[in-house]
Amino acid sequence: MKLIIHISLMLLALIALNLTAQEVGQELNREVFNAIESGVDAGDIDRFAGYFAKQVYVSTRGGESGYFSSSQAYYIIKNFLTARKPLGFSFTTYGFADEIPFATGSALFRFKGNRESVQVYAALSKSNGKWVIDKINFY
Amino acid sequence: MPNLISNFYSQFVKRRFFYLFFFILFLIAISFLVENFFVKSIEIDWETISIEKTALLISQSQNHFQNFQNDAASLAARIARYEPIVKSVSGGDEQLLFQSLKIFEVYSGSVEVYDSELDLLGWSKSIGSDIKLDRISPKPFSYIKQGSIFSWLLIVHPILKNDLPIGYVFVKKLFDVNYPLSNRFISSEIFEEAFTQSLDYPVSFDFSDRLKASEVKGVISIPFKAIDGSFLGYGYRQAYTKGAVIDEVKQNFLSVRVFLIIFLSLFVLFYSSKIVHTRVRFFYRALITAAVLWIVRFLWLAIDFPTGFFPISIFDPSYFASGFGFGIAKSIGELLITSIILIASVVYIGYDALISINRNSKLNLNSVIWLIILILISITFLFLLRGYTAIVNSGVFDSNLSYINPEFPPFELLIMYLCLFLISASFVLISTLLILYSYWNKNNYLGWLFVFVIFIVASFIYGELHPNPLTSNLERSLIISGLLIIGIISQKFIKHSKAINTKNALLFGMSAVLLAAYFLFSAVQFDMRSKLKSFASEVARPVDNWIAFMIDEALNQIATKETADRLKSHSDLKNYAFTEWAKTILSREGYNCRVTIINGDDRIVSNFQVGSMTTIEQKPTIRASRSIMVWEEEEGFVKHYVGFAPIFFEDKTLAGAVRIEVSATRGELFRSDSYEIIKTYTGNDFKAYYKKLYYSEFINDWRIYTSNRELASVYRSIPLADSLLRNKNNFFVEEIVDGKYFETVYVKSTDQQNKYIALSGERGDVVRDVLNFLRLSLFFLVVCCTIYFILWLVIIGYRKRKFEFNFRTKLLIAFIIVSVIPIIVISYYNREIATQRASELNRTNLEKQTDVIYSHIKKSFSLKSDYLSNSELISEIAISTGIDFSLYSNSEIIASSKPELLDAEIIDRRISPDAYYNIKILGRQFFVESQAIGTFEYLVGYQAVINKQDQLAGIIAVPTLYNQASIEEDLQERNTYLLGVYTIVLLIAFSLGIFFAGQISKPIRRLTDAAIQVGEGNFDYKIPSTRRDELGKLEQTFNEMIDEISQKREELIKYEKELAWKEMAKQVAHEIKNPLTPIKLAVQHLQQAFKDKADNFDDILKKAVSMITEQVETLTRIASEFSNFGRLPSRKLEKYEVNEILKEAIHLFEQYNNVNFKFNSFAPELRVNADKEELRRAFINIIRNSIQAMNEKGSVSIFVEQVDENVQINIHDTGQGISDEIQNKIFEPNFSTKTDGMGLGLAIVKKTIDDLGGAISFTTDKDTGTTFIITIPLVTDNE
Repeated sequence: MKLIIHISLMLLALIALNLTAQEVGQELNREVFNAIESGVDAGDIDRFAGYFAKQVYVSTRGGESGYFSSSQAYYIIKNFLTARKPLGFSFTTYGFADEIPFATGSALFRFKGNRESVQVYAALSKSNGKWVIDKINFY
Repeated sequence: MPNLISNFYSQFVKRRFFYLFFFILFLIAISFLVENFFVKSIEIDWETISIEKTALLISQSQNHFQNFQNDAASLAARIARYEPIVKSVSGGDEQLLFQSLKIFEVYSGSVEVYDSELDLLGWSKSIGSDIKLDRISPKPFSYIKQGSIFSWLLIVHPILKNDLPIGYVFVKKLFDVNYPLSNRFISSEIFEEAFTQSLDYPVSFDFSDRLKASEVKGVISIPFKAIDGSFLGYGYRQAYTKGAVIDEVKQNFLSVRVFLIIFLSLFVLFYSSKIVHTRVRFFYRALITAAVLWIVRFLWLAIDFPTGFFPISIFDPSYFASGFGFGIAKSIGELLITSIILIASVVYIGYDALISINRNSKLNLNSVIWLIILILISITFLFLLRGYTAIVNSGVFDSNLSYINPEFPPFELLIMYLCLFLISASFVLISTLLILYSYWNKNNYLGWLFVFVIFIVASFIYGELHPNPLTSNLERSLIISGLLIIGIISQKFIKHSKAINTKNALLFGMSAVLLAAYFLFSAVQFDMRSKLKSFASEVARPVDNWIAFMIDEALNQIATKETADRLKSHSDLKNYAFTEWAKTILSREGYNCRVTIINGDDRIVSNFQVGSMTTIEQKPTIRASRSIMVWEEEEGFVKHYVGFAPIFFEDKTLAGAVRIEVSATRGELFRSDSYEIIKTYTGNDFKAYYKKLYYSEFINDWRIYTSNRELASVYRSIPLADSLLRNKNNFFVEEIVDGKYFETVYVKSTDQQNKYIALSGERGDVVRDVLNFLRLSLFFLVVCCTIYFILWLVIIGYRKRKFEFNFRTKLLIAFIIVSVIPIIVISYYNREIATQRASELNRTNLEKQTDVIYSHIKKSFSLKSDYLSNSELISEIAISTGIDFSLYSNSEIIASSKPELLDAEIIDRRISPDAYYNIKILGRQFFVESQAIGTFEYLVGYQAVINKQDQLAGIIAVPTLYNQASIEEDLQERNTYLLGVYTIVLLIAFSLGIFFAGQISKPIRRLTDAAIQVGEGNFDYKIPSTRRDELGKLEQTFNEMIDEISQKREELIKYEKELAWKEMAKQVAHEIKNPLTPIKLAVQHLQQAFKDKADNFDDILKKAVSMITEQVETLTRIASEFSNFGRLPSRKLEKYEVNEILKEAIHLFEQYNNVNFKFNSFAPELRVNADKEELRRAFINIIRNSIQAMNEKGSVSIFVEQVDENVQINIHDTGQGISDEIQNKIFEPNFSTKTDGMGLGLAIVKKTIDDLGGAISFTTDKDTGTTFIITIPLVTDNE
């Protein structure tokens, strides 16, 4: 009986530990999504550029799409955001595809006098134990 | 330095620039006020402004639309009136009609010609889907027709004969794409895009609901009319808002301010260089100019100029963007500006540094201090090298440019080559200077060896301390050795204080070419390997979440109530899958996919597929749950992403389902039909670097699958799978398998233990690498030569010289032309032949394929058109033969093994006019032509199908759509070798040209040098001739001639000397005689007075003594002047500071109260080698002359500066100048305008300055006075 209690306690501890680890992981990737959200909302790429992976898949409306280095991605998205005046953005959907977190949401911009709705999709990947932005699409 | 700043400031204030500077600042300030005024006006008069802007928008849009229509209408009118077309329509001459229509292919839009019964007679160029003429009118008219995917502007123009319509010309232009379709499917310019771009605002068109303007608030409806004035439809745009208009105004004012700042910065740059041009030492001038250049550079960056103003490709970060230096390399264009400023700064400062190193050959430094300096310099050098290699690496890693793609580089890449060359040249120059500054005795090779050892030791320590250096120890050692040699050689090339001469420019340029090519090639290799690793990880990833997400989004868009209603109504849903696909992100991103819509009876009602898809055997079956799954076939070789969503009615009952499938074949990674994400990921360099890429899978170290079928039996287990590697998630190895060299990345699978996937890139042999390296060198060489040529033209233009070449250059140019032209011609023909052979091979293959299809068709059908149109049987033939094909009857398609693109109207259903003309009209059996979908070009082979009655029953069309990529790969491979070989041949031709030009022109150059030497008075010069040919005889004769001239010259000198002495004696006698007469008279007068015992003897004696003394003084002065003039060079030469001597000379004239002396020197330490007394006398002489020229009233300004390696002294007086008649005599002896001198003063000054190796000249003007300009060579402390 004692043995069963011990094993049960150990299992509980393990489960708790695992859950905590998952929460920490989720908090970490949520931090990246929050940075993207705040950056797109303010039209300020510097708020999330630090999270770019070495190679980022970038797709912008009316622009090139493909894999770019983090420096290229920085300037491509900067140009995209500079040309627009942000009117509001937040992620509305968070999800996991094969343990890879992604988030989507609709951003509203003013572009050449028009209001423009752009769907933002961001997916992360893990690099050296940290969550980094692997894909970011404005479509 | 304070003196420098104060002078700079005074010059700045004096010039007009000062006023302009503040005027521009004033304008900038004013612009804020005006902007505020405009913003307030908009806020107050918003109603009126809104109405005016809306009216303007409507009229602009209508005019633009009208112009677009008029272009098409005028084309239609021209065709309808074109005589051969009228003749062919009236006479039914089909051949003439097709020939005539071909002329109009150059215009955008497709053209069709119909007869009066609306039967199609001929057509040219097909764009997209097939739309038939269904309306006619005796007058030209236009209308818009919406297809399922495209909208078209259609112009109809009657063809008249005797004022009666005998036919119609139908011009069709692409107007709009109804869906956000990927550009890969669009072959023609879209009007809507061009319209938006030219007006800079988006307008959406809707011609379906013609008579209704939008009632939505905030939308402007723009009515459009047809060419006959009838109403066509509306365009819509969002109405202006006050905020948007104010933003626009602010943006415009911001642009004005930016423009003013750019203007201001250019003025600062231009005038600062002018102000400092002659007033300060070269080194300070270089420093100031470089500093101003960099300030302007960063100012431009701050205002986002030119990137924000010129939206051209070289400023697009998708080509290249580096994080260096706050954005100075954020695009190719910005990098170009930075590299130009960098090379300008380095060359400007380096020029002075090279000379001063050359001059300061003996620095007396303490050994310890020297060692410390040496170590510091070596560390600085290593950081510079790191920076340089990091930039080159960034040029590859942060760019999507294809450096080793054998095609001719596009414009962006050429600019990138230029940038990298300029940066490399800057690095070579600055590093060489650093190394040279670390030691100064250029002839002591032991000292240089010590420098080398210190640098190497520092390099090895750097390698140990830095965990991941961008260069290896060997590379750094080679670079240090190379730079050291360049430094020593460059010093040898400095002649006449010209540091940047042709030889040094070539030396630094060629070194930069080699360095840039080497590091770029290394960076490409490194980048390819890292991309191979990333790519392997990407492939190993079980699910691509982006694809999964897109499928999910598409399912959401399609599985709607609207689809349920369509399923319920049992309407024709044939194209429904396509139209729904076209609305999704899958179509915009251009992914190959299949969309299937199933009804409630589990039956497929609509299906659409784009691109080649590997079919999953599993039949789509209706299910109530939504899911996205990934299937792997052939052990993960093929990945299928399948999304499934049920479609519900409003009452939640099941209406049907939608299934979306995206598949990717790993073995086909680099083929044109692989999905976009992989194509963009690898880039073109990948294709050029790796010959082929293979995918393999290993379980328990044993390979269970490989796409490399050739090596299937050889290649069985993971090599080097030791325990160290086993613990890693991925590892890179270089392997040789069956004589082939592979670079392979092994990645541990995340979904199965003991499973690895491997991606192997097959490399070419070493020769291929060498050729690639040479190819890069060739491009850098071309860039280098272009820069030299442009610089040469600029220098020639600046110095206003004629285009003159020396004999050797002429010979070299002749050699190069003679050798390069045949190479260019051969390479052109070789390439043409290669392309022709490839084309012939394609043709043969296509012919074989069409034959195979023909024989199958013959076997399967009786060649009746009814049978031919059986698509299912056509598909069966395609599957059994592995060849996709289409069948045409007359001009219309009747069956295709891939009907989806036709159903989607992406491909025209009508046969191409050329194919129809060649097969049907000219009766040819086989015909090949090039076609395109979007930007993708491919070949199509057409074969006539003849029935039993020997009539044309149909036309088979086989596209090479799916193997065009491999044909291109073969051509690229061939190009790599050819370009490399041509580079070698060109280099050999250049080297031989330089060698032979040098050899042939050598005797001529020796003769020229000898003539120059003799001209300068060196009669002992002899040409060292060893030749026995005509040129040798010429050299020998020249030497003999010089001997004779030398002999004659000596005789002449002797004679002249005698003559001069005679003249001198006469002159001396004459000059002495003049004062002797009054002396004699005075003595006689004194004697007489003494004899007469004159009462005033004392007075007479006093006067006589005074007279004699005065005349004796004159005699003394005459003697002194002759003595000075004729004095032999027994001077006491020492180093003296010029400023000090000048100040002493000025001091002597301080008693002249009416003369104002100004003394300015911009160089405190200017030492010359001179006899101090003699030089002082020379200065005194000029100053005295100046004072006398002003009648002892005015100002004398003395200005001292360093000009190159000389001190320049300007002595300016405010006298009346020197008259024209005597200007060329003032330096002659015995010439004087004064009564009391011998006229030897300025002659002596000239002789003094000439003897010091200097020069004296003057400028004079009767209004401003005279300036004597004296230049004397400077000496250094070590001389």
